[in-house]
Amino acid sequence: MELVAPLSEKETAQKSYQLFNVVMQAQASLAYSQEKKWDASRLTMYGAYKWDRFLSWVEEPRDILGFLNHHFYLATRGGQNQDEPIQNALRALAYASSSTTIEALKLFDPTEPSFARGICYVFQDDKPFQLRKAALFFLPLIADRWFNTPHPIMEPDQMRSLCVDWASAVDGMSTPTMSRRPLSQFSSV
Amino acid sequence: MINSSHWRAHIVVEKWKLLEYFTSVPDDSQPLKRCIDNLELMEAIKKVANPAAMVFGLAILWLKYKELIPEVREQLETVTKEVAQDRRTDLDMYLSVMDSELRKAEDALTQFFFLLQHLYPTTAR
Repeated sequence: MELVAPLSEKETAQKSYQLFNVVMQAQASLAYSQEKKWDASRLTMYGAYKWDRFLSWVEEPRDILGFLNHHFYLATRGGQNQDEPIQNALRALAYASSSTTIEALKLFDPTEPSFARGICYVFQDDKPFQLRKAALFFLPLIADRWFNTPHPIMEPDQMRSLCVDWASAVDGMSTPTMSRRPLSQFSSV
Repeated sequence: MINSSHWRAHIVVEKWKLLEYFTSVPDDSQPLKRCIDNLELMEAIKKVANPAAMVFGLAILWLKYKELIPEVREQLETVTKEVAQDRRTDLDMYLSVMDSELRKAEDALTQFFFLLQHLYPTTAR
């Protein structure tokens, strides 16, 4: 306790973020299995992005995207509840992305089917509020490559479901997220 | 999403009202720029079952009028006239209904006074 108690949320978050990067870069071995690696990554991701008052800036999103992809796979294919790690990863990307992160995100393909399936999955009606909120704020970062494409990236049924879930997530936000006044307040429109 | 012909059809009808928050979009937003330059968007918005879509769509374009390409300006002016014409028809119909209802009410009142005068010839005026 003497070692842990003096740590502030900021320090915990920063150290956890650094540890997350170390864990993700580490090679799995006999002594350090892939499973243990994912356990450690979940723990450090939790420490880094669970706090509301402090979020470490994401410098290089590749590891977080790898983490997110893996947990999307476990949730959508393995039927496991991975809401917490997915939520933390989405919070990192949605709320703590710098211009460097956004540039780096351009190298990532968000239209890859398993990733797209994961995003649709977290928008579902029964998902926790914070998870849907993080997904809602993450979507603009990939919107260009989802919506501005010559060909649709998913089947019409999937698009319809996502639009319904997205609309319900917007309705679920208890307070307006927009900082400026809506257009209707400027005139009688 | 509204700029994409693939996605537009799937937008939940009530959510077109979110266009009212367009002022929250940064002025240099590329998706916004693509939307206001999109010649097919106006025709698509006309078909949306939510009338708010057209009202907000037109309002956004008029607020961005100086930035519009000539083709969109021309389209905007034409569509605005069409909408105004439709509204004129709605207003005429509304006034005509009001007029006829007013006439019915006046007739009913006249009949009421007539009946009252017949029943109470000394008090009713």
